[in-house]
Amino acid sequence: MSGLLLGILLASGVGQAGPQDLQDQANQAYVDGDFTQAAQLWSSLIEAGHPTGDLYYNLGNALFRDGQQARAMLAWRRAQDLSPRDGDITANLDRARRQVQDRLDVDRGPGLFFWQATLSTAEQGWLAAWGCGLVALLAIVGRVRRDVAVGLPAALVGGPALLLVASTASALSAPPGGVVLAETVEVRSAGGERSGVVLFALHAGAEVTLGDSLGSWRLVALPDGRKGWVPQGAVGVVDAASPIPPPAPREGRSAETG
Amino acid sequence: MIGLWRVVVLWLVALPALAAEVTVQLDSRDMRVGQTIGLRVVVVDAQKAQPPNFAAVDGLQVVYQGTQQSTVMVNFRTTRTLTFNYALTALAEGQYDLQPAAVSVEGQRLQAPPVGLRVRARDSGAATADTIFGTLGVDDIWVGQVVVHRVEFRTRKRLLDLRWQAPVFEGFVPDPLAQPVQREYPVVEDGLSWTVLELDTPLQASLAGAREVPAGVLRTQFAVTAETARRRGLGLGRFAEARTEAHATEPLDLWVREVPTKGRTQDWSGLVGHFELEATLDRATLKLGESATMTVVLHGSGSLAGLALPGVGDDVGVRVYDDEPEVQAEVRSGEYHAVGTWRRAVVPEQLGPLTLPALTLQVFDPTVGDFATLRTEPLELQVLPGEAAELSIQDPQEAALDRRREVAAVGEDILPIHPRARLRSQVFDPRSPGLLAVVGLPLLGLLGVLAREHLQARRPRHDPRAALRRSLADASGQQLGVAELEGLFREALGLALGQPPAGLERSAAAAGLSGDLRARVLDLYTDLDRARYGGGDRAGLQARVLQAASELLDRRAP
Repeated sequence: MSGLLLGILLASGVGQAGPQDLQDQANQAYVDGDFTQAAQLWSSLIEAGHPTGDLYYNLGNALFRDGQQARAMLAWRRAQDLSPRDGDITANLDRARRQVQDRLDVDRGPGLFFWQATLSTAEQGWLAAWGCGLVALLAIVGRVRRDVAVGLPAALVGGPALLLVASTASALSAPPGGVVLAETVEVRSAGGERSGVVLFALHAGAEVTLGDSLGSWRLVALPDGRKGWVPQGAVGVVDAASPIPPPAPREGRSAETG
Repeated sequence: MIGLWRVVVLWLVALPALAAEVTVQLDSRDMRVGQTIGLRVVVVDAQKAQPPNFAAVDGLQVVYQGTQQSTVMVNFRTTRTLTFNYALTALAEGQYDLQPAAVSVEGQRLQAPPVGLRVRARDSGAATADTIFGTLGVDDIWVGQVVVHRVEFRTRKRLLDLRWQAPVFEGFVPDPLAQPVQREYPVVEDGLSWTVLELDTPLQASLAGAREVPAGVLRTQFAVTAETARRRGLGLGRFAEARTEAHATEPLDLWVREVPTKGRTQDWSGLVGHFELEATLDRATLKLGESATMTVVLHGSGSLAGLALPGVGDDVGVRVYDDEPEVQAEVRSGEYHAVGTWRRAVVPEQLGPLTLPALTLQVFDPTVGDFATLRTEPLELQVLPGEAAELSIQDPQEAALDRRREVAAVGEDILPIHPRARLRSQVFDPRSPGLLAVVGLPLLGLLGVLAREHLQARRPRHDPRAALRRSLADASGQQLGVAELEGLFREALGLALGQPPAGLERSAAAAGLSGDLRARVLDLYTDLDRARYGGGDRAGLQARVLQAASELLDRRAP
């Protein structure tokens, strides 16, 4: 999809522009009310190797104004993962959540690594790396200059660094979140249209936790513990490194399976 | 001292028990002329009180008989109960309301609620033997109505034990909320003392039509005195023996009627009985976002099991959350009474005055044989904005000086975009070169330092004696020059004396050595000087130098 978008941009002469020029054009398209064009430009920027919280946030705004609320929520969720301290993202996301048909409690509260709500995975990973590197440097100094006491500074740096390593590993291994993109999707007890029964239905914007994949089906879990299978295309993955789901089918079409 | 503290603690514990309450208790509310039963005025949580008087009532006689006190401590709370005992004698037929005079407790006058009493005509065929009968108390019974089946047994003998074998109440189901009640009290009738036993069982009619309540059997055990001990000559007094008897009630024929369909609405609650309904709010004013508690109380003579209270209604401007209802029922003085309490959290969703509409509940009242609609009063609620409510408690003068107003919101939208977005990727890649370098380079450096230390630890240390021995061994097979011989000699001498070889003088050798080796070393000094300048005999010099050096190496440095 990103290739297609880039192709469109190249054909329109936009492909010659640098990232900053593309951003300026996207800003202008948004100001001019051409939200579809703005969303395409920001999508292309992101998929060209610039997945940032700001760009995902802007993409969410353009999609929201373009009437694609579920995809906007997905973009804002990705933006929140990259920039968790950005209050604008949280505000827009909360506003969109109030318009979702399914009321699901997504506020899980602080966990063991409470700073994960404040620090992005990248920030935790880099802090952990710098901490580990600093501990290694202190160890070198301690070996070379036996008269320099490095034990206490190494412990003060190494302890938090180890916690950050564990926190980063936890964040990377956690099951990704998902946002239902189809207007209505039936959640089945087994992956496949001919197996299992319909357990319940979810609607566009419902936020779930994603599990295993089985062919073209994906396991989803609700905050209250209910689980079931939905078609892969009916949910978007909250992973900033994943491709941006295509806008088609246009929101409003159902992804019912039964 | 400890005893004093105990007294103080007990006194402090007992302090909160000051909320007194007065009630009147009757052994029975259904008497016959000529009977005397017990009457008690109970004052709970009172330290001291005078026995109240009863106003003279034609047809009744009340005689004070004494006072009892009891103190109970439960969970560190002390409850003192004063019980004033009276004997109540029925002199004439009629329906009476008994109410004692107000009781003065700790300077406060407390009034007990009146108690109803029915006195029937004297039983002309009053027997002197034991009697038993069963009754349902009412003639007309409707499906769904709760009736109390009472078994009354009168005896003049001393009752030790009893067992009631209840009949099968076909067409009735036991009430799930109330339990059967058993009471026993004394009655004096025409000078004879009786013990009256009452067994009340609540039943709910479930099937219409003619019904028969078959006979039930009460098996009793009485004490029969015997002068066994006297006969045995022990002289310890009288011992009791037990005798068992069986008494059966008469079967009861009755007719249970179906609740009529005429007058019944779709909203009929299914309740059968005489009820009263009321609803209250715990507050009349609150801020937006806060909640008020609405309490609905329904009580009456029918079962409330399974009742679902109607909702407040849509478009009222509030959200309502129901708590678990509290429903209780009991049999008191042969009558069934149920109380249900529903608590609802009312959360307003809009500002200004709100009216919670009246709750209506249709019930079937068997006392009138028709449906009745219970209705509460509408409840008014004033909802204030949060900030306005805060301002309302400010100093009026200060509030008048503050002319600011809240910024009124006229629309809602998402927040604007970030036009100066950062373009550097924020996605975390654990395999990025920069990250690996930040961690890897210092770790590689540390590994290098550790490897260097390890290698140094394994490398053999330089031993100058061993090196010189190897040089001496190498020199034995070749012809060395004077300078080389002198170098070997001085190095061996330096090692032997523990001094640097360079500048090692003859005097140092003379001072540091002794014996034959000393003489030979001094001679070598001389011979090497001569050989250096071309004089002297060089024959055998190399062998002598090597020999002396070897011996010097064998000598330990001082």
